[in-house]
Amino acid sequence: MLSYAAKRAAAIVPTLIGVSLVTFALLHIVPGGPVVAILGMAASDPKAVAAVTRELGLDRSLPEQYWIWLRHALGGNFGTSTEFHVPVSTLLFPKLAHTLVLTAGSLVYAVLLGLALGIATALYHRSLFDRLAMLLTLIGASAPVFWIGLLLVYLFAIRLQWLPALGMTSLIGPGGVLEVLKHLILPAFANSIISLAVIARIVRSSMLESLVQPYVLAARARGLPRWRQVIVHSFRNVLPDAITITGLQVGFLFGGALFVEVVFGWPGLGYLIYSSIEARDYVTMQAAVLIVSAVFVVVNLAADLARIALDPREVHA
Amino acid sequence: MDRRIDPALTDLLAGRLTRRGFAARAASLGLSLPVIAALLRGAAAAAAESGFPVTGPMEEGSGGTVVVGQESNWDVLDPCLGTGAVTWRTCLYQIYESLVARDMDNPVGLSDPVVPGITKSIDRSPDGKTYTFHLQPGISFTDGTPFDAAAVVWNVERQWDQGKLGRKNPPQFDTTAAAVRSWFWNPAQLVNLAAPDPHTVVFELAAPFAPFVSGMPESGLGTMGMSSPAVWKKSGTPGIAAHPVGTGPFLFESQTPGDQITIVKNPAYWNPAHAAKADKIIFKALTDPATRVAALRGGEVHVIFAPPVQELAGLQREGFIVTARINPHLWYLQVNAEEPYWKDRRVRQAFFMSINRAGMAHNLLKDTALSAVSVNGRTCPSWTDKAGYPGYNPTLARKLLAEAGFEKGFDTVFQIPTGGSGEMEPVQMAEWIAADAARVGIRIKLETMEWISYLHAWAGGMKPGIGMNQQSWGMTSIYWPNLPLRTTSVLNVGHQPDQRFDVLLDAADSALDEKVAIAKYRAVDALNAEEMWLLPIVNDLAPVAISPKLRNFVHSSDWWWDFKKVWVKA
Repeated sequence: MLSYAAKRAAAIVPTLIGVSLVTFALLHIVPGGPVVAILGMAASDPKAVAAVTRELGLDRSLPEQYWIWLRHALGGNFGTSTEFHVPVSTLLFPKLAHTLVLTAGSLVYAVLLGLALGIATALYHRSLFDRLAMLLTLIGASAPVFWIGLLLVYLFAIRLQWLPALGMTSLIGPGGVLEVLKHLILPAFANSIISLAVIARIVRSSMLESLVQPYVLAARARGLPRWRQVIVHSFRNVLPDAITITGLQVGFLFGGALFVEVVFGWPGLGYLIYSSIEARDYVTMQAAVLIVSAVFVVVNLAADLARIALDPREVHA
Repeated sequence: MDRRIDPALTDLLAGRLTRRGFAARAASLGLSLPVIAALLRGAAAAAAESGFPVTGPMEEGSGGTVVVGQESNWDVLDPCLGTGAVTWRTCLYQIYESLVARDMDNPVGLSDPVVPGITKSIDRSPDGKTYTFHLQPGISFTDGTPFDAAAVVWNVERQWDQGKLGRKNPPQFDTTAAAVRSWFWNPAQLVNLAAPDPHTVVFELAAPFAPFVSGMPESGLGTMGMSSPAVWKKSGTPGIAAHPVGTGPFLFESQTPGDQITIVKNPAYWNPAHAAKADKIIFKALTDPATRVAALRGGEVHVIFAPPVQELAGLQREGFIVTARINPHLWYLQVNAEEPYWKDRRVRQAFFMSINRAGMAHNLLKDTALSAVSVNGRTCPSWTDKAGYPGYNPTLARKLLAEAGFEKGFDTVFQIPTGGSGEMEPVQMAEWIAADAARVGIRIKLETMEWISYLHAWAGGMKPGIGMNQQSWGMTSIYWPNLPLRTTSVLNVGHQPDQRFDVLLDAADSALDEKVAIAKYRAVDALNAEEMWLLPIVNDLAPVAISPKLRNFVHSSDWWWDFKKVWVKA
């Protein structure tokens, strides 16, 4: 188990370097660059373009630019944002924390509601409740997140005025944890819907298989209470599948926050990536993608290790 | 102007007060007859411009936190480096003051005059080459250091590249700032700058340059916002953006880049008569239009910029106020002079006549724009509706095309951005133009791209195979036609080759009499109306939606917004 974990952990570094290389290459393929974004209309003056290109070090060769960036990034220095003129780390880490809060809130919805729905629909297989719930999960998994977000805002923030429409705290209120939780309800739910639907459907199908296994029948024959049959004997065996799919969903929720952050004005990493693409802020973009990739890779590793801890046969599979 | 007249003006503009009633109220406030007459003329003109009011509710009072929902992120909070329209337009204009200011919150002025601000008065030498700025005494930056002639020189030398004169630039000189402001300093040909005493700054030019004063406050590409040299000395260029310090009515409090900026009232503002009314203003970046509207409806913001035109009627029904006003904006096309089909003037004229601009403004843009009739912005003194641009006339367009040998029309490519600063609804507008042009036989293929990619393509000038492209700009300064129409300008992206424009522009730029300069710039406009290298399409009225709780909101007549007077009624 330890050697497996070490092997997987060692693969993280080349993976991240690969991601940063691809990102770097893609950014430079897209027409326009930070110089055009900085100069705006003045980019029509070739002398102005040349002066700013030189100042930003963009007149060096691409391998040289990449090497300079990598060397600094490995030392923890992500450079200065060309859009905001502040160190990227001061932009990145507060926003990473905000996105993690949103992801965590979404995960709570996705896991709790997804598991509950998956188990309940398996138990009431082919009932009206099952069919209705599966239809709703199908719609949830197919509907665009931004559309769901806008519907939620219209209903709960504008019509009913129960919840705030945007931001992480009230713009003119005192702030605090309760404020954040109140502001988290709608965006986290909007962000969780696809994952919730996916988890519910996977858990349902695994539970349907598990509920007819001999060990569940044996538990039933022994006269164990229904909840023990379901949770301890059946769901226990569904857990590795549930953990794997949840691990994958963490990455999905983290990435999906981009849309939700724009709709709900949530000041997170997705919003930053969106604006840094628009402004061709290569430096911020590179660092943000690296951080997102790192989170994705680490979460997947953690999910794999958890799965192996629950079912050690997997390590030899 | 006496601001006590503002509520009466609002009532007049909203039709709640007759002209006679307005005159009586103005007289009771002691306004002279010529002033009253001017206000009535301005109000009539303002009302005729659009169906939207120019102001929100006007009421004496103060206090509250105003929350402003902006349509895009701001960039760097440095008056020399911030190029984003949003950066300057709202936030920085409240913190920094320009050496030359405009009275943008005058509710009836069509062409805002340059008014005294931190500069008390300006003298020009008879030969038009020396400008002496007399500064208001007793002004300090909000960090307590004095705003004086040395500070002005320091700020100008940050963006004026003296290397071109064979001199060494001072340490605060910034390459990017110089590049961004080159459109102004290059034609201005500044050769000497001096501060003979703490309240006097002398600019010496190599040749007369008529737009020198009016060009100074122009948009993100030139505003002479004064920042404290002490901040730079302490923490360098990054310090200016991190802790902006100016002389303005508001103080910078905090920012979360890409999210929000908070400014608070400057209690020690040098001009108490124009001190800020609100306690605090929060600028929030809300890039999604639907989110901005939801935020306004949810009561979380008081002002939203660029509301979707489809939402305006609904917002008005719900009690929100939609204001709009003419400003320097021009949405225009430039044709590629190197494409063979445009070489015949009749083809360019036919294309222009094929576009139903008034229909576009009314049906597509829901009256949030006016059909353009000049290359000059509607707030520019040289704007005229008599430049001679032909109206919508597809029959004549077909006839002209036939005369030019294009009975069967021709194919062309139109490059257009999908969005961007001041671009309104670019793709839908391009589709409208393509549909109109197709009716006379001009078959347009649209080539769309996102804003920065588009700017990259646009800035290099049109390549072979591209028939036309689009841009939105304009200035209140008379200088603007120099940028797209001078043959040697880098903004002549259509490569128009007619040097008659240069001759007229040279005469306009060097005119010592403003009336002569205006006449020459109008001649440039008239020449373009004949030659049609630049096709003016519409002027945006830039609608803004505000909460009924907001007081004293006056829709700006320029690119920037003055929030000194606004406050929130609880």
